[in-house]
Amino acid sequence: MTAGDHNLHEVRRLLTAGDLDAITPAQIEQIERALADDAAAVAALGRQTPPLPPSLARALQDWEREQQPAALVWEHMWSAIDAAVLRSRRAPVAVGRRRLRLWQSMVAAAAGLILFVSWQAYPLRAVEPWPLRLAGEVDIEQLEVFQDATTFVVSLDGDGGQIIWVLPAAENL
Amino acid sequence: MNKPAESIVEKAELRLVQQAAAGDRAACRRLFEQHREAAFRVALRITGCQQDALDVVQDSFIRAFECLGEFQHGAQFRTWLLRIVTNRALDVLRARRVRLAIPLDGHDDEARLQLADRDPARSPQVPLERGELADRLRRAVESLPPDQRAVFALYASGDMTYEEIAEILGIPIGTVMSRLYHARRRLCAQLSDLAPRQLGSRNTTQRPTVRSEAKTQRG
Repeated sequence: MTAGDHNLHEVRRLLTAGDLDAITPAQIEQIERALADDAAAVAALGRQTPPLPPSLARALQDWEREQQPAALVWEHMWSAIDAAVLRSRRAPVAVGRRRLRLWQSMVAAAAGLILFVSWQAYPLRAVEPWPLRLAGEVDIEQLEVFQDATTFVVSLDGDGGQIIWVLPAAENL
Repeated sequence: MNKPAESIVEKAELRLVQQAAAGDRAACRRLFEQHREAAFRVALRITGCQQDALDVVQDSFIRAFECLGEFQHGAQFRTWLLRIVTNRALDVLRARRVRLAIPLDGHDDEARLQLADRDPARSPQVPLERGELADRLRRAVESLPPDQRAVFALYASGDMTYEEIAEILGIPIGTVMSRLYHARRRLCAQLSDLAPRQLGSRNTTQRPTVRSEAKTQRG
């Protein structure tokens, strides 16, 4: 057993015996650190009830007896508690919850409406169908052959527009 | 209390809690009557003021009864209630700290103890009445930093294990031991003239009690 183990054993013995005043500040720090990693020691020492010296218990009783509320004070307190709990169980909480639900529903409905409108509006502009038809007349305006590709500028149906077409070289296909 | 008797008491209390959660006002009242004094004593030890303690107890019972649905049935109602009381009382202390700028970190412990020693009213030769002793105890407890005061308030109930105190405060058992140790040292230093070596005397220290397995493994 090392000196540290022996010391820890001694602190545990003192704690178990309730002799808290025989422990040094360094020992209490040591036991605090040791308990962080020792579930068995926590379970064993955790069941201890730290002793209350009789002189301290008497002084506490004197202090608390002086301050002890009268029966009437307890009665008033109970009335206040009962009334507050009744209020919270009835109207205020119910209204609060209803308001919360209504608020959530309204936000959800508004979000749904915005999504629907966006979905309707967006395709009208961007996904409008592009009519496809075969060109009756195709003229090659320009043709250039490069090492990697061949480019064409093609005119369709006279004034039907021009297309630039890039055709990769065969070895790149 | 033997195990069967404890079990009967726990079942009766669980039934009472269930009835209170279902809106039974008589059950709420019985829980209030059973636990109000323990709650008051803890609140008084932390706040040091009767009116603040009464406010804390009232707020804590309202909160407890409103939130009975959150109560875990493996736990004890008293433990759960005292957790609410302790937190509420510490809130009161924090609010007061803002007004009075009381240091909370305990770094001025030694300076405060020295000031206490210099207080001429605390001369060991002056005989004190029990009322004065109680008053000095109150002032000594008030001089503890809030974290030590909360541990002391629960320890002073006299029947709580380290495990229960740790559960109520949500801190490790080693931290409970450390805070209690330092709180007791400070109190001994301030009150030693009243009853020399009595707060910590080996001769007068009671043997600790150990809770039964059945009690501590519940919940």
